[in-house]
Amino acid sequence: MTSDDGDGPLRLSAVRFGYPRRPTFLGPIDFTLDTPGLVAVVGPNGAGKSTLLRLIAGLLTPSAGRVTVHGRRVHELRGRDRAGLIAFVPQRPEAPTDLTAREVVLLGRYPHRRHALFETSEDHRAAEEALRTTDASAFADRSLDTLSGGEQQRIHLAAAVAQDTRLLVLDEPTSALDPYHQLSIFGVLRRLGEGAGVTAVVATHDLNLAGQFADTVVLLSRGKIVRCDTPREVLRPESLEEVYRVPFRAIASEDASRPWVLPVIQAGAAIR
Amino acid sequence: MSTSRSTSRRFAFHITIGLIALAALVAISPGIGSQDVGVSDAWRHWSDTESRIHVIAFQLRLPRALKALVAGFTLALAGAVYQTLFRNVLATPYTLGIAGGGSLGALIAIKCGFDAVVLGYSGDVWCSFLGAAAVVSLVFLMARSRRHISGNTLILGGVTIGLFCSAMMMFVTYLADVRETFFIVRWMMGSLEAIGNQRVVGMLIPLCVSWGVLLWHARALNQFDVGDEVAASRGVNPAVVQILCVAFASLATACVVSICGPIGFVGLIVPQAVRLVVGRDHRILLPVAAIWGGAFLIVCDWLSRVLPVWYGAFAGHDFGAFPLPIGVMTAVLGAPVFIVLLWRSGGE
Repeated sequence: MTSDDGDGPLRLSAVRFGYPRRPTFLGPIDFTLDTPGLVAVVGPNGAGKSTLLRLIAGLLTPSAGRVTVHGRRVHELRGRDRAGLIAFVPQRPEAPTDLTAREVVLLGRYPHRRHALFETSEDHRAAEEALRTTDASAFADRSLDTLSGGEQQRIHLAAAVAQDTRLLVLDEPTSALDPYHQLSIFGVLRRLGEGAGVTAVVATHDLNLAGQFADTVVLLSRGKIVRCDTPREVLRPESLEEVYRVPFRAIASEDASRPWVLPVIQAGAAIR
Repeated sequence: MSTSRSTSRRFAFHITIGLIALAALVAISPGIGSQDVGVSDAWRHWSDTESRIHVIAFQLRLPRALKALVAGFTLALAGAVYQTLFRNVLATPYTLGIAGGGSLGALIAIKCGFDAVVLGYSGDVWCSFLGAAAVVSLVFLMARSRRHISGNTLILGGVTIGLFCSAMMMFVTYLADVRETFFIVRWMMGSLEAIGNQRVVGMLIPLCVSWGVLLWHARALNQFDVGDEVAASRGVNPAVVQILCVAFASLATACVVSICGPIGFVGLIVPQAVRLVVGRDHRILLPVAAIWGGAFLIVCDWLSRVLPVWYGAFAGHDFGAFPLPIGVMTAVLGAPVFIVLLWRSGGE
């Protein structure tokens, strides 16, 4: 760690990444977040959102540059140390359906037990707290296969919360959920940011969820950051049109800092 | 909270029940066999080392029961680990072709007379391990050559390798003379007779190390249930855990194969049945499956010795003291149980 890394929640310095067939897929990415909050990563399919999230979570190693979380270089940390700092929820989390919700949440406590075979009372306390935070206590003792998609997603979020990290990385956590559960998940993430100072980096296709909940929006296209600012600055029709290749219209909102945008299909206009 | 707080209590309960059952089976073993020596008879002659009953009970039957325990314990433990690592309930030392590779290696050593002892282990043990290691490497290469190879493809590959090994074993048997053929055929059926007790004691070192490594990884294996990426984000290195566990499960399998030949179904049905009762928490599943694997094989061994006598009495024919091959017994018991399990799972 060097002093110029700072100790803010997240900093990416000239990060690049490539796959064997696309060696220059992502980057260079430079991004600094100085205060905890909710960061929404938006962009079209194939823009590199999931790759960027995995680089931040330490699941992929950049080919150049560095990712720093609270002053610690992610890719120099041992797995267990990294797990104490960053929790990750994939787009479609796997879990055996015969486990109860609480058992899935307790699995998130793994990094905190170095040698103990069984969970400690501290693990149980953290799991209960995570279940309460995510409004999932009511179905904690039900097996996963009896829960709806939205309830299951809350359980996976609770497992990440129980991991007790200062950074949560979530890849499209609301992609298959109804509006109630979408708002519920983003509401939890915002509460975590305001209450516990937890930073959440969330990839999403829902620009309005990003607009209503995020403190910072990162607009990604073809592996590069196009804009990175407050929702009001990023979610402008002209910026979005350039990236998504469809016309957008802004809708009047009570809170000007939280814009609404809609893609517009114009009569007779072909989508480019 | 009761569900999870009781994990340690469930662990203690299932381990205690399993160990009591196992101890009872081992204690009864000296009294069960083709000769008319009962349990109380046997234990009355515990210290009478010169008597015929002591020889039958404690120099023949008890060591066999302990061999069955060690083999069953290992195969069920390895089966449970393979099923988690390859995310497929059909993954066992046999369906992955690992036992086939080990058997072929051991058979080549027996046929070619490789009996030089290296580091305390004879040629067939080494060849068995090399055969198993070769198949494991092949299965691993298959798994790693494509990023998203499915568990089913892996099993099909393993079954193909196993069939190839079987064909090669037949070829080796074809080349053998009459004396070798008799030994080879008995060994291939799975037998607790073929190998001396001394050999088994020697195997305990690699076996205990393998058991330790596999049981130690129970907590990490729980994380495999939530996917490689989430496991990695929680500090588990999936590749390292997979390589370590597969290597030691295969080492343990190779040791057992070199002791008593290929014994099927233990690694398949015991972990399945135990999972139905104790759930999928590997901290409980692995040791309990291993214990009941040992118990299952002890019972199979009893039946393999007692059934020919019963049938002989029924049919009026004396089969002498020849037991059924234990591999036949595990298949007779295991195949129907497995079909019932498949049926109950709704074909998942």
